[in-house]
Amino acid sequence: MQPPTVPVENFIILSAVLFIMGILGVLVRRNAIMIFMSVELMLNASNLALVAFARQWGDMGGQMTVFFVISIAAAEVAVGLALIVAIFKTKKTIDIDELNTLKG
Amino acid sequence: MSAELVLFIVVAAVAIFAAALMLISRNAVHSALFLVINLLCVAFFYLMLNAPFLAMVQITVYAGAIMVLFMFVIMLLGAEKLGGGSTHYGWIPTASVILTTIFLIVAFVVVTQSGIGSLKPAPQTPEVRFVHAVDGMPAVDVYLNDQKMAEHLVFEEGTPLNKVRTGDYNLLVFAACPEGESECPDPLTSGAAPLMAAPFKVEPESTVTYVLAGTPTALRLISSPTDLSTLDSEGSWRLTVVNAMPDTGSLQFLQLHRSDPANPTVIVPALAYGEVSEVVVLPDGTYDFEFAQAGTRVAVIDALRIPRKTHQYLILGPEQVVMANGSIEVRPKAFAVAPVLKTIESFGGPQNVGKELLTTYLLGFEMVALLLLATMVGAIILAREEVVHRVRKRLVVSPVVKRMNQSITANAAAIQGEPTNTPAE
Repeated sequence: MQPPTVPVENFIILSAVLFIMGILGVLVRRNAIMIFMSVELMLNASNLALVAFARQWGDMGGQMTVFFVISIAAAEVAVGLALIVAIFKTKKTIDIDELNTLKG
Repeated sequence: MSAELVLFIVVAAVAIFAAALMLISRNAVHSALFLVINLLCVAFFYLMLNAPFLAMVQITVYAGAIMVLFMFVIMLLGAEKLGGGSTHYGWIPTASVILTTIFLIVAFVVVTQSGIGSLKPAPQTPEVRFVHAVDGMPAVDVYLNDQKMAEHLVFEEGTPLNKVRTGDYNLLVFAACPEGESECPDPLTSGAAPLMAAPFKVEPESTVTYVLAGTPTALRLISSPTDLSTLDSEGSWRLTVVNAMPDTGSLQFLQLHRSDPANPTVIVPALAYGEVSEVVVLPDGTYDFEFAQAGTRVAVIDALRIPRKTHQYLILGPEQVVMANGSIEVRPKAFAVAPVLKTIESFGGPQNVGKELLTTYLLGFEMVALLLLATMVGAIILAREEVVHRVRKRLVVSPVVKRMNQSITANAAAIQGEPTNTPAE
């Protein structure tokens, strides 16, 4: 297989930037759904890095991992959003600053 | 700067911009829509990185299903504008921006200094394959040193590709165990005389087909490189022509046309004994081929149909024909070698992903299926609990049933002569 036209470093740096934006979203935003979406952004950034490495090594292992990550992310979103809905029904809010029942 | 790099920079800018807008927009619906744009950009990068299947999965599963779920929950909770008001943790944004900037600088230095772009894939293991093209010779076993490469290889057939290590070997060809005999002594230990013994060299990263040719008393090996790399066009196949017919001069290899028999296409202009043609790529279809020498027909293959995405060998070999008077005449015979070698699937395509999923990653695949099942049950239970409570509270009993219950208890009381008390009270 031919070496990639766009150097793999570009994809890795882009993936790092997107990952960091995801971290910022998780840390800064207080809406639980926004935090969830930022986690999805982080998962996507890591997937991009995996696919870039799979291309560089000519190995399908990276792509298969991404396939599994996507399916598990779908499961995670289904359960996570069901939890958010359940919390909203009891607490009437999804602001994570208010959800401090476990605080000692 | 290549067009692809320009495209990368533009789409990367869109992806980062969409992610930033997702983070700063106050409305959760807008955030979700910006995230969709970001996911589509990532799908585009998957296409650039030879992962077309994953790109489609990304669009259908991520940008489609998961984001619909997000939108649904945002709308259901009316959570578009939540998250205002004061917070007890005002220092978090500043701290996280500083820390992530440091992390970004470290990541940038690591990626640019480590030289990951110059890393090469692991070298491919060399592969060899043997084809039997000597009629009148018994089935053979082929050994490289003491490693058995082919067992009971008969005329017109070839072995599948065998992985071997790079290096020098000693090739030994023995007559195989005759039909009907269940146990034969191991030819290596019993000291049987080989039909052929020759030094053999395996080059690194090579895929070679060896054709056993000649006569049973004077065997020779014709080597030909096999090209199993992905074909540019899906509906085509590769062809190599080998002349394994001893004592023939230079032959022409022609493709005959049913519609125009007078004007065949010359595919290989000249092919002497022991020579191998260049690899020819032909479109899918049914073919009639002919070997000809100075205008006269030597051998013909009619209505040959080769599966697409393969590398096929056509060999002209000697065939022994028993004549009416009992004598044996050797005639040239053209044949296609079985089994056919399939070219490798295009990297990251659906066939490739499917093959990997059902071979190397079968366990993981099944585990993910189980996990999804468990998730489905879990999500249903999470959502159901409330519903169960509500149904129990509002349990409505039909008036007819109520009347029946009352009459039953009244009758029972009348029989026993006791006051009617329901057990619940």
